[in-house]
Amino acid sequence: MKANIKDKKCIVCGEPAVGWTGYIFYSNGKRRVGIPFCGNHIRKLGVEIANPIFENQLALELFREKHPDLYRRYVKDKKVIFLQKSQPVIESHPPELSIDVKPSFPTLIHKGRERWKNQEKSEKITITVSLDSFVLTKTGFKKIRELSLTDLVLGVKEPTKEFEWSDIIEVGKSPSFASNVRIITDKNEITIDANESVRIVQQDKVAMVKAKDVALGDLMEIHFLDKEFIKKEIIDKPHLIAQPKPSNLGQLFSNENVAYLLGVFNNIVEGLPGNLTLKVWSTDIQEIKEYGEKLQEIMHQISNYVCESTDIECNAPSSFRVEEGPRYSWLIYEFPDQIPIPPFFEILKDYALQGVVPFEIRTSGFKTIREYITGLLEVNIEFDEKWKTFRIALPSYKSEVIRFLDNFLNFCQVHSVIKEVFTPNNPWEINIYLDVSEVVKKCDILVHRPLLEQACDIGLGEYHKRETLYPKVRSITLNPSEGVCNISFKPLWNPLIEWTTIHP
Amino acid sequence: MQSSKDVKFGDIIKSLISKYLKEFCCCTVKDIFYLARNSGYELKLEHIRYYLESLEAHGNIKRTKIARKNVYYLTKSEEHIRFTLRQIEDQIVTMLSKGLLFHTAEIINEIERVFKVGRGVIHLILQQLAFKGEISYFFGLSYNGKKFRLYFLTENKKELEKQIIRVKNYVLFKRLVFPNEKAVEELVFFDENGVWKDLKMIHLDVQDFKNILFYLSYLGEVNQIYFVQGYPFAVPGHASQLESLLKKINSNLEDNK
Repeated sequence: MKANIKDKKCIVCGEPAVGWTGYIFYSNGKRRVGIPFCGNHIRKLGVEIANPIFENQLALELFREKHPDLYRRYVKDKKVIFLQKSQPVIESHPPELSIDVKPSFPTLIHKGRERWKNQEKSEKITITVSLDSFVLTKTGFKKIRELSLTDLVLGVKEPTKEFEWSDIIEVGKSPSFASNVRIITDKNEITIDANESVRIVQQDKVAMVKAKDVALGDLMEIHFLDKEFIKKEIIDKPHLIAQPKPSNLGQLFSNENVAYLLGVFNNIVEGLPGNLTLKVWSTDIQEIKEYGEKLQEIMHQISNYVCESTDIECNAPSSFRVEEGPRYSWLIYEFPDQIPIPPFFEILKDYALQGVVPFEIRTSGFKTIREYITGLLEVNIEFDEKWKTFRIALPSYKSEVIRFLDNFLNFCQVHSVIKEVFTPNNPWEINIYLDVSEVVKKCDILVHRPLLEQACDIGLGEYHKRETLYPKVRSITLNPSEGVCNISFKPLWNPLIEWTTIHP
Repeated sequence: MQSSKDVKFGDIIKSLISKYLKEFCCCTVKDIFYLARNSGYELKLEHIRYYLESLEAHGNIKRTKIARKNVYYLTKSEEHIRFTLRQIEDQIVTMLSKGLLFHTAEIINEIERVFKVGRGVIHLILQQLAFKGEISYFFGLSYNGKKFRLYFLTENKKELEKQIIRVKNYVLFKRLVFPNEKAVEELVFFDENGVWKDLKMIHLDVQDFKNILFYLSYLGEVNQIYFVQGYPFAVPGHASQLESLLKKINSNLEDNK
């Protein structure tokens, strides 16, 4: 039973206490609820004064490590009171650092308590860890269940209970999760098995290390890979085993034009033999022709570059024609004298048909990745008449490409992206709705295609004098009579790393 | 106070509603709207909704929710309705189990022959089954750009994927395909191991074959040619070749004349 409040004094100023509130956090991780406060300070708790009160500096650090979300909300930038030290301090951000990092790779900030200590000495950067059915919001990752009508970023809510990272930490405490490692970055955190392989870049070399061996300053690749990935990659590409792989393929792929074409080839379809057939959406045939010419120019540049730098044969297409269809049109590139498609283009085509992002692209620099994404966006973009918004539609077997795109957009902090908004049982096509102008601006994309240019000029609001993207999509979700507006319950792809369960 | 004109108008709608609900055991608002329009009544959806609500308030009719939408029925036939809805669900599932892919219109026509319910209700039941995961759908596209749904049993998904690959390869090989019985017979002679397979084992009829082609057309894997009678499907690139060839022939014929 608690002592009489009249006998107690305020923990801040020593005035007679009027009530109990808040809690004390000890350095051993325990907590005690109820601290005496005077009338003046009891109102300020959690607003000006940090809640909880800490036993000492060690307790504060432990709290910051274990409950980053609570820390951010109730402690950061507030007056922190220690039991052992009467002197209050203002808790502020750790100092910003300046390591040179490849822009395509987020930097790992720290891992565990030791890393946190080191952080203040060393440096900063950004990380984006996006995962499967989780979406990044202001308060961390949340599981996609349904479109929120209130959240301004990308509304995602747990239908039963809104959860926080602190909840997951509580799960992590249990003995069954003892083998987990928590990797914390300046933005997000992830709990993974200590022995799980993670692809990182150490001193400009790509390496697979166990999660427990990840060190401060390592660059973590945009997404995690499972243990059998490399094995799978080789098995999935028989042509790479059958044919001797050109030693400088990586160098070729790091060329921005080649990366762009690789992105474009994601829309390749099987056409007449000896032709390269690309499906493109547009309402204007002239626009497709214009884009087709630009693409041909790029192919010419690539063929010159490939012929100069390697022995691989690469003729540019001699002509192209456009064929119209009910939904898509096709750009058909013909090669001189109807020879088969040059080997270099065949390699690119193989990658595209398998639905993988080449390793050389994934591990290259920001500019190359951006060009790849640009190609992907430009050739895939289409206007959805029903939802009055632009979208890209990719077949579900290209989940790796979708994941890569998703990570890139997260990395560039593009928020207005909605995946698989409807048709939960349409298994072969995944639609990604996006605000084109935001994507182009935030990713700093150099536009080749007139349609994309047009979409950006119009910006938020209109395409064909109609409302587009965000407001329209949101208003549709507000109208229950529209019916199919829920995000699929299944994740877009199977997670490569299993997350600790939130609801046991 | 309501005028006599209003009362009459309301009475007409009420009598129409009860007439349709007697005829078709359950209807959606849009069902009643279209039925009234076909009989020559120009009504507004809001009016129908208003009088449905008032009839419901008086206890004459009741409503239930299917796929988040209201379905109305007469109070006295409540138990019969429950039974009918369950039967329709079963009927749809049995129908889908007989083939691979079904066009929405095919399903609705089939159900309408057996049960007297509004078309909208069947749509909603299909949606509900899709939400439950018992059936799935994807889109098809006709030569004039009309999009429609093709339903199938979720358990048939793997079989369907196999057939899609077969049909796709067949179109690539033939370049131009008419969806007829001959094409289906030619479709698969050998199984994956190169062994002769009995055609009866394939379980693909012309309608399924056509529907798969519609789906491939939606994905942009094949093109449907609008200028040839019978609207055949072709490999992308073939139609433009054919068109230029036809133009040449026509111009030659004109020159000869």
